[in-house]
Amino acid sequence: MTFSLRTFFKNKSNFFLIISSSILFFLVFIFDLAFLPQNNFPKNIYWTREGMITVASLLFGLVIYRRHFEEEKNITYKLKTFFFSILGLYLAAVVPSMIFGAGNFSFAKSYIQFLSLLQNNLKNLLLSVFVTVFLIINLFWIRDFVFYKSKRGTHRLFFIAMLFLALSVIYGHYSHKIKETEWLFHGQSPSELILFGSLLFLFTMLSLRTAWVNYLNKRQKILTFWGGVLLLPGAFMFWQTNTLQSISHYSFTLGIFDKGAALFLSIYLVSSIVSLLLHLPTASIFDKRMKEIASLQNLSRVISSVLHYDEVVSRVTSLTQDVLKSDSCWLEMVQENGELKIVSSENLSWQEKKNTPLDRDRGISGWIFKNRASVLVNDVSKDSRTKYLRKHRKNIASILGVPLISQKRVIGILFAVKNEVYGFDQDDREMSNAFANQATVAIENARLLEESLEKERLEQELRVAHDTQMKLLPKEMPKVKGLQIEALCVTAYEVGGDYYDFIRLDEDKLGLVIADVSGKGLSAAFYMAELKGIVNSFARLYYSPKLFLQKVNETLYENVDRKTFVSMIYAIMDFKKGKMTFCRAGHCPVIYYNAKGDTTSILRPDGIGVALDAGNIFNATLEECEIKWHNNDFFFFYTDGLTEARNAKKEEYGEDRVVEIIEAHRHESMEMITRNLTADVIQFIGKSNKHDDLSLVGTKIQEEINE
Amino acid sequence: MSDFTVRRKDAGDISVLNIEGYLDAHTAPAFEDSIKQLVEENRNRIVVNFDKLSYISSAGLGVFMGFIEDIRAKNGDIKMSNMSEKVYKIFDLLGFPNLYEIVSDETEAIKKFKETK
Repeated sequence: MTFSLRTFFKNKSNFFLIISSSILFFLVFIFDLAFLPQNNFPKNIYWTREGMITVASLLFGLVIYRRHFEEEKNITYKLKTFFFSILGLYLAAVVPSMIFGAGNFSFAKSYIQFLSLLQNNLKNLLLSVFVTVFLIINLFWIRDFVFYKSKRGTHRLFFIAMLFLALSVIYGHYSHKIKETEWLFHGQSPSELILFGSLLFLFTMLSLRTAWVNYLNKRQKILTFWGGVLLLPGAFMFWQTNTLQSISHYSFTLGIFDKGAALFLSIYLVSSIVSLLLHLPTASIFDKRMKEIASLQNLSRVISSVLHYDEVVSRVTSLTQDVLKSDSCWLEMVQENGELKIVSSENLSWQEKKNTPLDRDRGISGWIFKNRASVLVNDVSKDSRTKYLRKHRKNIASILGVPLISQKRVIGILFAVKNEVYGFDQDDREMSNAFANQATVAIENARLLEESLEKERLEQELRVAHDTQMKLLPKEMPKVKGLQIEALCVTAYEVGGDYYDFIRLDEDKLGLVIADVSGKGLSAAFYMAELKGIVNSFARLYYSPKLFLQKVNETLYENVDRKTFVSMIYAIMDFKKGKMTFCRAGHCPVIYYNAKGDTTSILRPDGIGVALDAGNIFNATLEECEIKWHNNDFFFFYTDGLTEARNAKKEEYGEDRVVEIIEAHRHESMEMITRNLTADVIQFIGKSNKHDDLSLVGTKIQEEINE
Repeated sequence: MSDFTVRRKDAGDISVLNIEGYLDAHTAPAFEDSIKQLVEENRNRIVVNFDKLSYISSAGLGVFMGFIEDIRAKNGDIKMSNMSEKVYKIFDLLGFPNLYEIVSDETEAIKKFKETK
């Protein structure tokens, strides 16, 4: 109903309502002036007048109603406004009496009295309007306070009370005895008493609803209490002056309504003051509990928001410190290696932190780990469990230790200490237990999140490394007349740093490089890129494999970190002269098949890895090897990922098996040889993980026979 | 995965590191830490005993390269001993025998250090 009323009036302006109301009151004023000289109102005029006053007041009430529900305010705002509107009411009631003096509304006996009557009439009109308006405002406020955190029954009770107030007004009219009202009603007939008694009962019942008091903090409670006390003299004066009688004389309806509302207001005011007084002694404890609840809620918020592990643990200790008002507090967490570590602390010096024993098997921590329960020691000198701690942290007098338990395992302990004995109570302990439960969830969540982020980051890194490697390897084999070239790289989960390339030197010469950069992942991929740059620029400058590798070594040694090195082979195939010249810098040997003699040999000239040495040893050991080839000869290059490929039993594939497969397929094309070898290795590895890249490069001489 | 352990044994100014298991890109940091520790303590005469090492990857070899310059500049050295044939092959392929003293057993390595005292 309220809703439809509200929407109905929403589009009408308050201004319109106030104007209408004012016009009505003005009409009443004119009425009064017209009938003043007479002794009494005619009956029908009397009813019309009362009706107009009632409607005018209701219109005011509607304006207030609309203003009141515009927006929900917080309790402090409400209390402040309530205070000022009560003050306003008392001022409105008392001030006009002071200005105009006492005097009741009555009808003129003679014309001489007309002026004083006019003045009286005006005073009573203003008094009635102001007092009624303020009372309506206050009724709405009382309604707000009574309804604060209320159940449905309260709403019903309030409605009934308002109904009784309306009934009183109607009944008053019908009994129509009252001219000189003392109280609500003049007479003492049983029906009047019942009506009055019921109203008193309902107002008292409603006045007991002061739940809002509970939600004020200590300071607010004190302020509100003294504010209420300050209003009491006003209330006293209000009832002492004849304001209400004046209003009754002016308008019977308003008189009864105002009396009822003022009664309700007074009862509620007194009830609130008493309630506040009763709550004052427990205010600080209540404050503490509120703070505890707030901190638990705060932690819940921390849990649901995305936070780093470090942030969560520091929040846990700062909230604990705040709520328990401890002298210092810290959080010990079990680390990956099983040891305890202080991950966050409050008011703990570096020295104290260092001196705190972190032992899972001894003392108070040991007890907590064993019993998976919290410990509260209110006098550490009387508890043997704290002996060890006491030795290092002399000023501790009472201690509270709460385990953080996840899946029945203690994952950490939250400690709070005070420098006086009996610093904590049982409530603190229970609160801390609840707090620790929440903290556990928060910490575990943060940990899981961090782990998954780390995993994500690693995977991203692997993808980048893999993409880089793929871009560096040649996509197509060079087409060379009289030569079959095959190359492939089977990549591992983590990039292993394998690299091979072909460089067309001139019409008759092809440069071939195969290399393995030490290390894995992104760093290996970056060094590969660097190597490719160096290889491609030097290949066209130095036509001797030895000189080429010496220059590469020189340059790389200057530009990579000491832990990194590269094993590589550089070969130049000269088609004009029918020979291959190559150098091996710490790389796997070359397998050479000689078709003429039908022999397989392993070529392993001396040479140490690139970037191991500045140049002296490298240059001294590097040996150049030259092979004059025949038709159907082939050269096979590979990286250690091939010979070191492991199966589930951790056996290695080995060089012998490579030679065996190659010899078995020696009469086939290079493509078939590499294909068969790859198939064999993959079968050998089976389901176990490839731990390194595996690269093969084969070149077979296939001169055209149509000579 | 990380089945790799280092045990350290100090004898006079010589420190022996017994390494065991698989030394690859994942376990290399652990080995790096133990050598770093020695260098920080200014113990630059180091023997690495490979007796129980079953595999070493390029990242593992890199650990030696990361420190050797520093150690040699301080008149120290890293000598290697008790390598299995398989592990030696890996060292040999890369030419490590040209860079490091690799001897058959630990006592021999210690003796060599003492000779150069």
